[in-house]
Amino acid sequence: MANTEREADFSAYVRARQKAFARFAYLLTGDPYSAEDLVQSALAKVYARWDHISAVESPDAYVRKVMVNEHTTWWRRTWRHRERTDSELIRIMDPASVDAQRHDSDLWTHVRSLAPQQRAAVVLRYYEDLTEAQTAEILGCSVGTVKSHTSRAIRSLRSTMKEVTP
Amino acid sequence: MTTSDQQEHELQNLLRQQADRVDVPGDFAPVAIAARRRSRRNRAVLGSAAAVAVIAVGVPAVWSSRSGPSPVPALTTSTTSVLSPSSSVPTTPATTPPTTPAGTDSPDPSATNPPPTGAVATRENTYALDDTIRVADTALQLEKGTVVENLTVLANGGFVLQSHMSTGPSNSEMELLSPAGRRVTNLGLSGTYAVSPDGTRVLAKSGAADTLVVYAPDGSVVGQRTDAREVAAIVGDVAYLNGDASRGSLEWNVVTGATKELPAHVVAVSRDRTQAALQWFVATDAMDEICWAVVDLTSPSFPKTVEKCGPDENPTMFMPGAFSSRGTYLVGSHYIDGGDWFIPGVVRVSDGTVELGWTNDRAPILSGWTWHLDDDESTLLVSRNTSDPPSPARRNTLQRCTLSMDCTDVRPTVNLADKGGSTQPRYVVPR
Repeated sequence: MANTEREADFSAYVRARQKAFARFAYLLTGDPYSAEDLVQSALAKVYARWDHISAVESPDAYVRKVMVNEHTTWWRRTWRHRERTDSELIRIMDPASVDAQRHDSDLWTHVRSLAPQQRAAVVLRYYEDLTEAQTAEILGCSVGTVKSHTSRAIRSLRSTMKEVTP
Repeated sequence: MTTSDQQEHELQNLLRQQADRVDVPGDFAPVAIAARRRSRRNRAVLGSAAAVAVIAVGVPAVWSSRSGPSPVPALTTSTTSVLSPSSSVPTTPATTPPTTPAGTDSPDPSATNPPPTGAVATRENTYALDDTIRVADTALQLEKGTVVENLTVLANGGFVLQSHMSTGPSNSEMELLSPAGRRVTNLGLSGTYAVSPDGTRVLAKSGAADTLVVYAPDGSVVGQRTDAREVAAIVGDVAYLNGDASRGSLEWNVVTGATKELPAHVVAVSRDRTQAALQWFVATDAMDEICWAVVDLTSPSFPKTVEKCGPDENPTMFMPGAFSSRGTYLVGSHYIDGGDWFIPGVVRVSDGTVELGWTNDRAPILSGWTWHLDDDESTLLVSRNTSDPPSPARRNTLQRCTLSMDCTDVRPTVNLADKGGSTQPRYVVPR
């Protein structure tokens, strides 16, 4: 594939899917700045292998995998967190109601405090609706580890959830 | 519904509500492509091009496809004297000579004309600031709005310029310019190039085709070859093409047409053609494992004389770009994907010792965009990010630094404007 053709093909794919990726990144990172950085960084890597990735049946799964791995890697690189302080590509809108904001605030704070692998497992299972096997594939771990991640995450969230659940 | 189910349902609702708040008013595609292009230039192609050790990292620009079509960032030129050698203000062109059409393949009679003041460009007296090329006390005015990505000075005082316009699509254009800054020939869009150490040959590959072309500084074509490999280096009339593990790299004598298979991943070749630097990614999904090595080209088996591979041996992901003038060092960059600035690195060829660069998260770093190691192999000219803290990058200074990071200003600090969440340097150091 020539560069110009590759760019056009990749651009069309990204424009169709970027909102989904941005949402996934936001749930992984918890803030729009890191989310933008994560999407950008992951897509740059995806573009590097686009000839291969575009030919597979589900590029989305690959992109999610790169994003999860990339986010986990960031935790090993402290300089990474110095990189970006602003975001123009992603905007976080106000919640639908003040009540909803108050209701969810504690729980969302708790989700954001989960370790990267745990949070990724939760997001893949409960937001992306992936099976445990699919989640394990993306996280590069066993199904047992996924069960362990999610159950620990749910357990640690449980006290917060009891407080906010009517 | 059990309590456990209710809690999972509650969590699911929360995640969906939070995700629904995310809107994407921008366009990630050009940003990702530009980031990839930076990385590609950085790790292999352009960095190995220059006459001596040099890295010209691409401009970490964010372009918006919302900006609509733009003119090709071709160079028309005019010249004027800079009022002060240290002036940071772009000068206004005094005259506007006619534009030379793009794509000229025949030699341009004016290609050897020096700038009106008579100054001949060298790596030492040249840099770019905004949309001008500064040669000693002369400013060559590029088309207004040109964003210089990288620049190389040729043997005749001409240039290879890679640039794009500040508005419009992300395609960058490579051009061969005369000493007066006039376009001699267009080398292609979204491509890569290398220049021989003596500045007499340019190896270029357009992003639109698998054709590698070798040019003389006057724009005449010395040779061409159809090959899927990428530009790595050119030394004299011998071009080096970077190939992956399936193809391997290639040595190509442009005059005789003779070729020789080389190890994969060649990114730089020493001036005496006895050593080559290799650099490759280990294929992890995070792509955060980078290896580099030096091989002996004089031995038929190309033995590795040094190899630093993976997170244990190359934890800060150094990527070689070019050999220094005497072959003592490899000059390159540490891999920072998605970054708005970069970290130059200088390592000793003999054993991989880091002489300058990023060694760990707590070590001080030199942050910048483009740089080259001077012929004395002891000082670096760098377009430096002088912001404190380094992000967001808001200040840019042309500095000369020793390998122990003692730096002095060569040109004054200029402020940077935010461009869509990213920043671009204003000074560009020739490769």
